[in-house]
Amino acid sequence: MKTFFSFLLLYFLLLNSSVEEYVEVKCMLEIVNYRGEGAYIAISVINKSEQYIKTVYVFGDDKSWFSEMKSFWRNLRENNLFLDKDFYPLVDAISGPTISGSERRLFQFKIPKNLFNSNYNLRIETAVEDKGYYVNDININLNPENLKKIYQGEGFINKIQFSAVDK
Amino acid sequence: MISRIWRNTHFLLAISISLFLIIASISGAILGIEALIDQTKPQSIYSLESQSLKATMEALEDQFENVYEIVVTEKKFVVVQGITSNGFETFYVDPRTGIKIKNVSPSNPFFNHVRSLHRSLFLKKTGRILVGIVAFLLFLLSITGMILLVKRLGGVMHFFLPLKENNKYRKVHITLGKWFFIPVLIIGISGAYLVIERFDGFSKKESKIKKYEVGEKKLNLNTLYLSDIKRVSYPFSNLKNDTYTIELKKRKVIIRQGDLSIVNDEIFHVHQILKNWSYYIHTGESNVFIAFILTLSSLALIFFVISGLKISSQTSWNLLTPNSNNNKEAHIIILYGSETGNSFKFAKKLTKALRREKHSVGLKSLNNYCVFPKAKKILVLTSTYGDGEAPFNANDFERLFADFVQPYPIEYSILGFGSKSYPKYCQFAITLEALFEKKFNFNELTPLFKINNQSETDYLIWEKTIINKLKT
Repeated sequence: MKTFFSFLLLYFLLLNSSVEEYVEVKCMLEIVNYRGEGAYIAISVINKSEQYIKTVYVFGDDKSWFSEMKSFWRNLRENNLFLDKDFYPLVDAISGPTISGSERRLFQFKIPKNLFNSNYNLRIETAVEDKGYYVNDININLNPENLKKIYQGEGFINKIQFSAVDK
Repeated sequence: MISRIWRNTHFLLAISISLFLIIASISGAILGIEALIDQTKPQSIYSLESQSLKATMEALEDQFENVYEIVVTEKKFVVVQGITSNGFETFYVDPRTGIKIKNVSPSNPFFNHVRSLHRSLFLKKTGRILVGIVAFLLFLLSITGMILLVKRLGGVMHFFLPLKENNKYRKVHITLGKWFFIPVLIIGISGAYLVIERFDGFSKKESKIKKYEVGEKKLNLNTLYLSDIKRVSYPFSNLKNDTYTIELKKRKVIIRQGDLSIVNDEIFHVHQILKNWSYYIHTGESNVFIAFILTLSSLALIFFVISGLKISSQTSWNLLTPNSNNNKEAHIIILYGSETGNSFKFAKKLTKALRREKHSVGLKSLNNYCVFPKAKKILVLTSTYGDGEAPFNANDFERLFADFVQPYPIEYSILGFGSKSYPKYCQFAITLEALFEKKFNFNELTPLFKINNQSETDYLIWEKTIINKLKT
């Protein structure tokens, strides 16, 4: 019985220590005006050597088109994230069939606090079927200052505005 | 001649797209069922027409700390995204109360695959173009089919009369044609439009944008109903100049959050509205009745292809293969008039039988009647079309028969195919007999022989008589 309780105690200790702290980021995204299929968008934290640390948001809920976002797709494949049950909650359920030209979205994602103020970047890659793929549509250093600004993307992102929501 | 053009066009269209059509109809039926299932879900709201945006926004204020977006999907689901006491959330709500109905789950991967197959055959851009062409050809197919149907029934007036037809595949094809002509026509044209739209078919035409000064014009949220709304995106911050983006079916309005005055009013071009309409009618996602009709039509299309192939395997295939021609040398000419290919089948049979008997035989359709330099015997096998008329490859025969004179005296024999269920049983064969009788230098070899419902035994009796006659 004693050993059982000590195991239980150990278990709760481990559980507590594994709780991560997050920064909530509110985000407004505006797509450039184009016609055709909706854009697929992935927002991820990467390190200096461009390795994917964490994907925080995805637009477009049909997995079969994820391969259009080539770099993101490679990461999913290499790390078997494709099968990850934790992955789907990141997919924007509301968008359904992606974002289309000139549309605007308001949403929120969370980034682990320990990824701030170190050598990490926030990458937003976008792809539209047969209209192109931008691996660094937005690529900014991940720090609180940067997440207070408005950016213009290189590709399908017309405008993006962040604000970190402090709890 | 005209009838032949329609039939051959119909056949060639059908053959060229039948495989794609099968794929599109099976996947279409599955998607139709999905649309039906979705509309029975609890989040499907039927009273969107009477629910104003203002009332919805107020209801949501009670439930959310901060609303980000309201989305009304094609399936009449109302989805809200925003901050609740649980943090950032997205779920289906009842717009009347703002209360959560259930979480949004990712769309079913099976249906996604089927949708992808239906839209692009898993071939991305190439596939989409293919599917678009198939949809357009389906539209043409339904038109040619309708023309043939009206001809077959003997006029629009006969549309609702009971059908006389013994072949079950023909019967299925005709009956389905009656029922599903209009839905299939609409599926074809709307499907084709969706593809054209997607490939920027009308990209040069821009929507009209009207800009307004602060306070110049206000938007009344009380008179905007959820049934017209696609998406409402809330302002990013509390600043007075921050805006709502309200996307409606026919336009997009941007309004200031302070006084709700319009900044920007974008009226979509008509092609956008046509696209919405095509989507509405092609997917049936927001209307149970349409979804039901679409599902039935998809199933009907599968039967169309199968029954069509069954009928055509006896007809058009044969008609497209070149005739074996040694008419210049032949002593015996076999002429056929065939609508469904049966008479042609028997004509080929006869040709083979006579060749076994070492006769030199030529085979031609009645419309290919010409001067046969060495012919002494002419054997005619013909069916009757519709109301005692000529089959399509015999409709020009009367004129040709009058024009050409054969060098030798001709002995002839006529075999008529028909069905006793028609009042004008073997009428065209009877007409021919009268023509032959009057013709100079034409003499009867055997009297007119009629065959009911393609009776094989009757045919063999006739064939035997002919062979014996030719021996003497």
